[in-house]
Amino acid sequence: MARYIIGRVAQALLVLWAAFTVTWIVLYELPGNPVELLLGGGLGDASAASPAQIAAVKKQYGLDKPLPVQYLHELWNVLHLNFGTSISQGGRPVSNILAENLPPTLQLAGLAVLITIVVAVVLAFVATYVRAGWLRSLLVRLPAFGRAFPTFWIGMLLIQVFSFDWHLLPAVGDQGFDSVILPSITMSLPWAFYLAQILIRGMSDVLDEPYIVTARARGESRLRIHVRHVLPNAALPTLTMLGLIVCWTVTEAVIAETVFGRPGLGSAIQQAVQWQDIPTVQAVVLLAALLFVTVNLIVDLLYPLLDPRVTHVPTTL
Amino acid sequence: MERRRPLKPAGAALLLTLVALLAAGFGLSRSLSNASAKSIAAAASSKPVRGGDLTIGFDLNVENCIDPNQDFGLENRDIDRNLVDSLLDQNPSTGALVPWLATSYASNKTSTVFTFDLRHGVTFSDGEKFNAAAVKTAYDNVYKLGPLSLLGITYVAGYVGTTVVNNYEVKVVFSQPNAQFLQASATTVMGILSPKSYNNTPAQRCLGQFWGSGPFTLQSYTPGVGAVLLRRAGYSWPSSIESNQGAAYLSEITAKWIPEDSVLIGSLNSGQLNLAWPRVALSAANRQLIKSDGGDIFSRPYPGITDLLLSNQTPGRILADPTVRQALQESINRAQIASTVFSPDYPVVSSVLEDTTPDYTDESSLLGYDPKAAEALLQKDGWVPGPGGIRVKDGRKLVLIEPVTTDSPIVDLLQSQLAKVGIQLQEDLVTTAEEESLIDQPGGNYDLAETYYTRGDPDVLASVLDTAIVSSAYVKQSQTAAQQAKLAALFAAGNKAIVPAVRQTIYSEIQNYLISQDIAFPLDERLEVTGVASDVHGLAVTDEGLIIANNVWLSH
Repeated sequence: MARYIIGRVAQALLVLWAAFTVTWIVLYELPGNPVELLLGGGLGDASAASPAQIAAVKKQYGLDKPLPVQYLHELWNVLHLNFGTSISQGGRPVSNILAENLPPTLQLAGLAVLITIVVAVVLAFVATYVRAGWLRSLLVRLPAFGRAFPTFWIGMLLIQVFSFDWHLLPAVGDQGFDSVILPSITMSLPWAFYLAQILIRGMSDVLDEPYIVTARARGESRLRIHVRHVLPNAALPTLTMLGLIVCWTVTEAVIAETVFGRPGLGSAIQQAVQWQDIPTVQAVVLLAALLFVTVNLIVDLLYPLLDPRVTHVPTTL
Repeated sequence: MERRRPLKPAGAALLLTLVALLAAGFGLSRSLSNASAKSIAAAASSKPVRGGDLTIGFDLNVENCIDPNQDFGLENRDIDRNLVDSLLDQNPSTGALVPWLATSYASNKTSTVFTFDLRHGVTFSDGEKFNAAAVKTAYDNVYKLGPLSLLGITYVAGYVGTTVVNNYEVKVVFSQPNAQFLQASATTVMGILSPKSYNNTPAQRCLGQFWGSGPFTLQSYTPGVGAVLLRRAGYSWPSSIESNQGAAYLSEITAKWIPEDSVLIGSLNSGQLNLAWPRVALSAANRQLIKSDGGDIFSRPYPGITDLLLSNQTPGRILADPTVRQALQESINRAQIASTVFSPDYPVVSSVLEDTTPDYTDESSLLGYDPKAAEALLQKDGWVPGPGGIRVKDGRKLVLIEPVTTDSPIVDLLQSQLAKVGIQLQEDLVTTAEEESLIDQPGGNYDLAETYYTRGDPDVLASVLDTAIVSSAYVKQSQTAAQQAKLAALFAAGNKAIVPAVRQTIYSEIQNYLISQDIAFPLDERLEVTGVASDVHGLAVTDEGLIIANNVWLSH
């Protein structure tokens, strides 16, 4: 088991290194001159800058060295958690920008994931539990119907109803817990429907298993069977998908943050891409990669604890 | 084994459709519920009420900086105008310069030396005194910013220094005539920061680490997200034309950036914003929406350069040919742009300057729409109709590339107008950074670039088009060498002129030259159209359309 963990961690580090390298290559190959942008104050006229000013900025950002040297220098910095300074925010340390924007996004994504799980489980449970054929077919089709709506549209509809019409919740900003409710629901619904679809499929399959028949024969109530046998057994295979959903929720926060005017990683990276702020874009991409590998690692390690049939120790023939 | 009932698709589909219709129906109920819920504003007392938090919604963020000396974007300048004061102010109705932190001003005959007598008793919010030394420090540092101040570098071109004559008198000296400097001294760019502010780096000042003498202080600023301003008690030196000659009525101002326009309007209508301040004029539909929900519309043309296109005349590019440029000028239907993109009563652009700019000249006669004449010109020049309706000459298609950073209905409409005469306008959607690299580097692959600027002085044209002080590639490439020389000479003459009539003649000639030489292609006028909630009173703006929050008060 220890060998397995070490192997997986090594794999995770490899993925992180690959993410760093690929983004580094892509970003530096893009058209556009970061030095110009910096001197021009983001949208200004840098051609009035003297060669001395340009050289000074290049030196400050290490852009005067040959590419492989720049790459290794950056890699070294990142390993020491030094993400450099932002180009579009006038020399602000990128780690400051991350520290400022991570909490609101985590708050948003955290609540969104919670809502996703609750909505998916409740919907799937009810859809596979009801006896009435018409109701069952409606509920089973609801997730597919719900997934057809784009996230930003859902967000704007929620704002219209709950904020503008009923004055219950704020439309924009990040002041107070109230402001996180609508964005979280917006982000969670598409994934909740997606997860619900998988769960419904899984639960329908489990209902056909022989041990369900056994449980019924033993006299267990329908509800108890659904809760104790169907749900847990169907939920397990969805754990991997849930891990991915957590990652996607965080990385897609930009949509909710734009519609609802909230600060966060999503809007930070959107700005960074607009202004070709390479250090910030890299740092956020690395953060996202770290999130993916961490969540996947956790899911992988959780599996044998939840399902004794799954083991990471290779069995001998 | 349990008998499963067969699924009933028809019933399910019907129910889902009903759900969808209900959701749509919510939208219809909106106007009814809102109209009845809004009460008519208390008109009983017109006496200003103290206190309150004015919430403003912007939609566009073009810079991550709040330093008045470095800012050029309208939204941030709106905030800056209430944090710092300037030596002079400009009357929005007449454009005349009036005293503010300077009680009087004078310029010498050659417009190289400007003398200001300074007001006593003014302090900065960090406690420092406003005096001649403070003005010297401020102006020296604006000059030091160089290219970091997009506008400052053109306002103080040729700056030699500021002489402290005595504690309350300064002489600002230039090495070349600079008549436009007087108006510049009324802008936020030449706003006076406290001397201690200049101990911080420009980057630090961008983040808000500075102090001004204005009616509000900056409590917090998050670029592109929001800002909070707090009332400064004891403020008593607004400009001479302001209605409130004391401290602000409001206790707080909150600025928010809301990129989604429908959310911006909805927030105003549902009482979450007091002012909806989008960059582009509110559409007729949105204005109706606001009015029907009990709000009001504040509309005023911005002074400065109209929304126009500059061409790329680099040899080898299609627009280096003056005949094609002339045809292009005649293929733009400006009346259609005004009435279709904005509204039937929207003013049609008539020059490179907005009609509220001093020395504006009506050049409508040069801006006529004549597609037949344009086609004849192109035909004679060898551009014959080709496949897909796009003209071809010597195997080359008449395709013009325009980089844009957001989808624009104006460009879309222009595309269809130009297609009528056989020109294909290729709209390239790029990031801000890419657009910068395209148009700021020589030899960029583009043919047309859009620009405009807000300033209450005709010399704003120089800030954008005078190659003697601006060295951007896209400006140099918009003019041939001969045109550059002619314009530079005209702008220099404009800066020498102190007699208003002479100034008018020169700037008229400049406007005429830019259009008749087909250097600039005006597209539309820029109107400031703001949504105002019914509890906002005393709303006023500077000549450049920036909000003067000191006069504003909120009824409860």
